[in-house]
Amino acid sequence: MSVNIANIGASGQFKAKRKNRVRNGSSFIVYPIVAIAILLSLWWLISSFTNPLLLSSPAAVARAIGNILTHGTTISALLLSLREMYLGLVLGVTIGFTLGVFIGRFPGVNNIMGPFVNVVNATPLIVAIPLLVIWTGIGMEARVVFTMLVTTFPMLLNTAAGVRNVHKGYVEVAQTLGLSERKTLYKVAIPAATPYVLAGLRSSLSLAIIGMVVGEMEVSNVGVGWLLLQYGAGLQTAFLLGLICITSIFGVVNVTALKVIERTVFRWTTSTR
Amino acid sequence: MTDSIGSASQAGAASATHRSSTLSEAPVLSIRGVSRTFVGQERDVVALDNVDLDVQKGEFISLVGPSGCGKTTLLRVIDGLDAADTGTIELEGKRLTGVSQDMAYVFQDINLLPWRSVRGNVELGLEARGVEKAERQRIATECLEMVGLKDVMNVPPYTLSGGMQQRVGVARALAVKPKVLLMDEPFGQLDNFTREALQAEVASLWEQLGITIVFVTHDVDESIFLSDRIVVMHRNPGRIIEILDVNLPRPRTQAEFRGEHETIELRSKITALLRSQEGGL
Repeated sequence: MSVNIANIGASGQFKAKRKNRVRNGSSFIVYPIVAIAILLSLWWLISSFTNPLLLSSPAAVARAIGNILTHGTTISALLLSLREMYLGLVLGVTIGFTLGVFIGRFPGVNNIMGPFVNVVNATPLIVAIPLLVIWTGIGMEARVVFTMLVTTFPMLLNTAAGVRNVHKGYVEVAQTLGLSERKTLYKVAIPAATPYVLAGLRSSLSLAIIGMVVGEMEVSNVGVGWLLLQYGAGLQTAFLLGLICITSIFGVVNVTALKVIERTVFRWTTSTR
Repeated sequence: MTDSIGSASQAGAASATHRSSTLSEAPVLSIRGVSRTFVGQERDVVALDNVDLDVQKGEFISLVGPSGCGKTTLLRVIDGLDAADTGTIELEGKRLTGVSQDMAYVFQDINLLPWRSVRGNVELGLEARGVEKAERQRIATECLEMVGLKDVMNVPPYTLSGGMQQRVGVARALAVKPKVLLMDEPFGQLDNFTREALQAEVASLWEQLGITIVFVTHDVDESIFLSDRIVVMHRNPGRIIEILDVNLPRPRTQAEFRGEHETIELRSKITALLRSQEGGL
């Protein structure tokens, strides 16, 4: 009898667990869809009795998005923006990671670079744009350098913190097993900093989009920034909203891609502890 | 006080030869006049005060004492993870500076690297020594086989239970073929059954491999089950107060050793020594 009860309890638990898992799996898709549906209907409702100059209807915005994505000029503007954004981002996170490792690993480097890094990080980098234009002209270079600058610092600060705060136990394991300082750095300290590096990358990703658009509006009028200015000047609200949607989809794709990488390549960062 | 330490360590050295024929005269590990004080803001803590100890080749020796008696500090100083303020550590007659490559340390909080597989963790010390990949994998697999974990060598370590993780910790230490294995309360965080199973495994590994083990614990029965000699330490300041021989025949079994007359006598002796230090801080 008691065996039976135990059995029932166990299988009941098992069922509950499975149900839970199914619900979690579908909620991943269902909840966002519900949220978007609510947002769209609210939007549609409000826009139906608002001046379309202030708020276009979802249908008008959808048409605008279709328009943007089918015309050569706008497509090449989007592609140009993407190219510059990723170029700036790759440069920024590479430099940020490298400097971050040095600053995190060597207290001497930290003492010298630390104040400089803090000052630059505390400065709103947009004030540097006129200077960047004087140094690099109004071409692609200024825009890429601006995106690079914006993305360098979150990566640098996070990587430095990660390398500096390596769990002491890991370092002692490396010491007692006889790893040299250099091997301890790249076999223990840098891998251990992965969660920090990923956090830095996440911030850099979202800042890269901002850097891209700001650069295109302030340095020279091309790409998404140029389109935004055009549509704004022409009071083309539907196109503005369409472009906002496209840009936010950029962002979502970036962040999702990073999440997928975290959960596959760096699975340990989410499954430990 | 210095007298009592001297006589205790002499008594220990003189009677340490019960594992007879294979033992050489010179100790494998020789600790002389080691002191270590931790300077604090409120007060200084004398973790080790002028400690002398000889460890014989092939011996299983335990350091037992209450928390704060410096047993872990002594083990860390032996390995070189911590530096003594005064005194010397000699391994096979050579004075040690820095972390020794001939000893390996098993930590209580195992600290397996989560981004490496189980086998990758065991290979770490071999990578430090520049062993090439195929050889590294062969040795690591062999060591994992010794601790019964060959089947899980490719999984990430955090998927293993605490007992299995500490087996990996032991395999990781054995992989570098240490002359002396230092174990710092390795089973302190494990449940009773797992702990007893691992004690038996360590005892049998020690018998198979013929290595020297210095084992820190505050579990009196654990020290009796495993050791040839038990070093009882006192806190504040941390020092050795007694060294006891364990003359139980080997191999010992968990079921039998507890009832032995020798065990009961040792247990009461050690417990009395530990009880005398209660509230002594």
